[in-house]
Amino acid sequence: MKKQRQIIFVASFIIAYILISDFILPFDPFISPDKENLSSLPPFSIAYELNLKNGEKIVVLDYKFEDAFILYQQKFKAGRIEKEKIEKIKTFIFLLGTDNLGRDVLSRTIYGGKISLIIGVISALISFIIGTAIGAFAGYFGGIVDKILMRLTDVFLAFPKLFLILVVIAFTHTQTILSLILILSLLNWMGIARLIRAEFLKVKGMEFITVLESMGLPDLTIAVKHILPNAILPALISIPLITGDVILTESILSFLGFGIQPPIPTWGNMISEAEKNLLSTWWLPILPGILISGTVLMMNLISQPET
Amino acid sequence: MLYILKRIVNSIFLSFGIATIVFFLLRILPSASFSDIYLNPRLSEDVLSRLKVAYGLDKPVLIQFLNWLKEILTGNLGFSFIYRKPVINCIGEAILFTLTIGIPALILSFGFGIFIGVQSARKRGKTVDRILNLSFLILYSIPSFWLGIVLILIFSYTLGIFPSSGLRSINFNEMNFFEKIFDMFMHIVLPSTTLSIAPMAAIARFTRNTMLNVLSQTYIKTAKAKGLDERTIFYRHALPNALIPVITLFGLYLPFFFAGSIVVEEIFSIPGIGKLMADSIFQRDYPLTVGITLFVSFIVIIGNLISDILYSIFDPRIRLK
Repeated sequence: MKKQRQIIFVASFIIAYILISDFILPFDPFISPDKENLSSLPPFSIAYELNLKNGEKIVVLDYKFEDAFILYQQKFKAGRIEKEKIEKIKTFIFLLGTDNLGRDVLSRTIYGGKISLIIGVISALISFIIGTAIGAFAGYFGGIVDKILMRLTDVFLAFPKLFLILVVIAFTHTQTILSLILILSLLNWMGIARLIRAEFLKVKGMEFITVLESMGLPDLTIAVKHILPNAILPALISIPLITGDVILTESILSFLGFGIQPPIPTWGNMISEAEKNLLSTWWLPILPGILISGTVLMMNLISQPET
Repeated sequence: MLYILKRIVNSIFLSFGIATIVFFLLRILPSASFSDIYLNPRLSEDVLSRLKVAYGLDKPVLIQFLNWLKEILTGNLGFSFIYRKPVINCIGEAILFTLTIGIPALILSFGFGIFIGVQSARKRGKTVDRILNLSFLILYSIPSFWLGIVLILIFSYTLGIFPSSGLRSINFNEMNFFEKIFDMFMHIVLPSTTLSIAPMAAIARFTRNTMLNVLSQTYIKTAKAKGLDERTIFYRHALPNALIPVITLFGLYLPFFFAGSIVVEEIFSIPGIGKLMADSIFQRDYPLTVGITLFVSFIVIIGNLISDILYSIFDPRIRLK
């Protein structure tokens, strides 16, 4: 019971995150306020935006008052402007710095997390449905159906997962979120199918099923209404595990350039973008990596059997 | 014997299934084979039909499939477009580099994994065990490419101890024998570590669990009742039995180390199987892609087979099931 509470807690946390994340972004994750002046700022950088009365905006890294003027400092030049022209001064705080296009890393990380989580959760659910259907078929009908379906499962298991995904993605040219979700879910159902099949065989041998059969209930009713609810729990618990696995796989794909394409951020492609300028912007890959690890760790922890 | 035979037949069946899927995947997917060439407007009908004949594409799909199977069985995996060499030669050259980092990683992960797992089981329930257990999980959850990048940041860029890419220095040819060995070693450290962390954590966890499993059995109680000391029970009676399932992990992890990791080889620019695969995909060299996919699945199947056979040798009960 404790486990179920944990899973429900984590699930609601993830849903809340997906719903809320758009509203807690400190900056626009796609467009920088000033691409040139704000590029590659280290963490905890502060910048200011001078809003002029004529509607112009100047982004500066530092400024100071001097008589009737404001002296400001930009990345590559300094300048001054009359005080009376300025309407107000906004302060930008980049907690995690900016990337080479001047975009706020924190905002991109929050937004990217949403994408990564959506892909992980939906893909795991689809795998769960496919796996349950195949496992239930194999377990309930047995015989030749079972043999064929289980051999199919074996073949899919023996296929190196990443290689198959790469081949399919490379030859189909598709890298939308939807196609990625589908491809990832086609490769994670095998474990669930085996689990469900084993549970089905176990439950099918129980006495109450024999009673139901003798009462003349149709096959489908028995399988769906009576065996499935008793067989589904172990598979249900492995959903978080698959979610973690999908997030990891997606990040690897993004890293190799076959995942979600920039400018849409995911934790994976943020790391891969960071790898190109590792020397100048070392802070870019740190947080996304920690968040991927943390999410996968959390998923592993809640899927662990209680000890 | 019958059991092993059954396993082998099963593996052959699996290989056949995979070859079938690979073949039909290629026929179903758009832009595989020749559809890219079809787009070339200067290509005349005549040339196209000759190309088709040359590659056997004018025959019915079933015949094509049989021909293709025959070629594979004779070891002909096709001809790479970009390298202008038989695919099998490309794989043969790349596997040397993959093994250079794969074998140290294999030794590292099994050595450390088993050692730490056993120590963790010895201290079961204590704080050390809890911390180790959690750190296995954490290490297991870290994406390997991120780990590689962080290691490069720390050890190459900041501390400057290890080189960040490749397997040899530029002036490798001018070095004497010992310098060469040292140079190779320095280049191997980071990629091998990156490769071995996740399996090491998995092996350690697995070792700990099987160890605890064995320790709870009655013969251990008997040994205790006989008055044997803790050490003897642990290392002489429990450990050998606990290691049997761990040894079978060897077969399962074989592809992990020998088939090359796309990610690790990509980060450290090592021209192994994984990088070859990535390159072939990027450059749409489909005979190479297919060849490597087949090769890797073959290693997976061999690995599974080895694991089954090892298990049946060390644990005869398996054969009776």
